[in-house]
Amino acid sequence: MMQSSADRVAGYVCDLVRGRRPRRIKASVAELEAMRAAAELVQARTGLDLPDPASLERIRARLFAELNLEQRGLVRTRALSRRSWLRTAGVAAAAALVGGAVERTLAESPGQETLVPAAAGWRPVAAVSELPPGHSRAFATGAVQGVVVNRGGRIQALSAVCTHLGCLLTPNDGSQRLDCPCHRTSFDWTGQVVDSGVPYRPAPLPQIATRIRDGYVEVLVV
Amino acid sequence: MAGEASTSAFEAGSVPTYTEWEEVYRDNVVGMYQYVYRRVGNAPDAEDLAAEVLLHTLRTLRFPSPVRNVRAYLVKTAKTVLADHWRRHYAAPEVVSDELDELAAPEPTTWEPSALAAERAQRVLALLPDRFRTALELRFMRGYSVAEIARELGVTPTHARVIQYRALRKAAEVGRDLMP
Repeated sequence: MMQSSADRVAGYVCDLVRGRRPRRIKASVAELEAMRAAAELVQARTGLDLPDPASLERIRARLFAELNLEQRGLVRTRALSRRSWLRTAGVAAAAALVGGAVERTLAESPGQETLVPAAAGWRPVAAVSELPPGHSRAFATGAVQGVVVNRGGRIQALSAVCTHLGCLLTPNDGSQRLDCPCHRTSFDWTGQVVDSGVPYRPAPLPQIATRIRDGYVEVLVV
Repeated sequence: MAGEASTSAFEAGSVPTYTEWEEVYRDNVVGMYQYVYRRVGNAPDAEDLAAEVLLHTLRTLRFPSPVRNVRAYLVKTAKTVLADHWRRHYAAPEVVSDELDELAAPEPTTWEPSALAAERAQRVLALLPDRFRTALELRFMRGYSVAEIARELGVTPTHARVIQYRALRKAAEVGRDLMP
C-alpha cells in the first residue's frame, strides 16, 4: 500500500522528536517543506541545539584526522577523559569546552563548578551601569550562554543552561531566580537549585569567572 | 559576544582576523553546529554536517583571513552542504535544485543564540490556526505521541497525522513570511 504524505512525514517527525537520525525517504517538495518546518520546531525547546561534549570532540577529531594536523605538531586535547565530570557540570560546561582543555576549580559550594577555559579571553557582556542591584542580564558568546546577576552589589556570571536537560533559563528579576521553562526547575542567583519539578535534584549552575574592568562586566570564556 | 572574534584575533590588527585554524574552530564550531541543527532537527545529522562544513572551509582557507570573510564563507558552505543533504537523503528525483536551496535558507548574518531561534519558532506557532497550533505544541513541546494527540483532539490517529502534516505545511508557509 502506498504511504500518504501525512504518514511519511509522521515517520520523519517521530524520529526527530525521539532524537534519532531520521530514516531516509524520497519526498516531494511539499513534504520536504513540512519536514524542514518540523526540524525547526524541534529546537523551539530551547537548549536542544547545543552540542554535547562528545559530539564536539568527535568533530574535532575528524578535523584533526582529515586535515592531518597532528603532523604539524598540534596535540589532541584530553577532553575525552574529562567527560565524566562534564556530564555533571551540564551542557554549558560542554559548550565552554570547545577548545577541549578546561580546568576545574572549587567554587563557593560543594558540587558547584567554576568554568575556567584554558584558551580563553575576557569578554565584556554588560555595562555595570546597566546592572543595578537586583537586576540580571542574559548574554551569549560564541560558546557560552550565560547570565550576569547583581545580587546586592555582588556581580557574578552563571551558566544560563539548566543542568537537568539543557533548556535555556529565563532570568526573573522579581524573584531573583532563573526559571527553567521546560520542567519547572528554578535556581537562585548563586546557582543553587531552589525548586525542581524533576525526580532528582539537578546540579547547581556552573559559575563563570567574572571581573569588572573599565565600567564593564567581563566574563572569561573561549 | 556572538559574532565577534576571539581576543587573540583582535590583536592581529584593526580588522578582526583569524591567524590559525584553531581560532576558526573555537569561534565557530558551536555556532555552526546550532545553525545546522536548527535546519535538520537532530544531533547525528547536525554533527556530521557541521564537521563537513568546517572541514571544507578549513581546507580552503588561507591564513591570515578576516573574520568577516571566514564567517561568510562558512555560511555559504553550510547552505551548499545542507542543500546536498536534502538532495542525497530525502528529495525525490523530480525535486529541482532551486527548491532545495530554498530549504537551506535563510542565511544568518551572525551566529544566533538558542533563545532567539526558539523565539522565532514560537512566533510561527502563535500565528497558526488553533487546531494546528495545538497539534504541533503537543507533539514538539510536550512530547505527545500521535495517538495521544488523536485522543486530545477527538479524532482518529490517521486524521491526527493528516492534521500534523497540514499544520507543518502551514508552519513552513508562515515561517517563510517571517523571514527578514
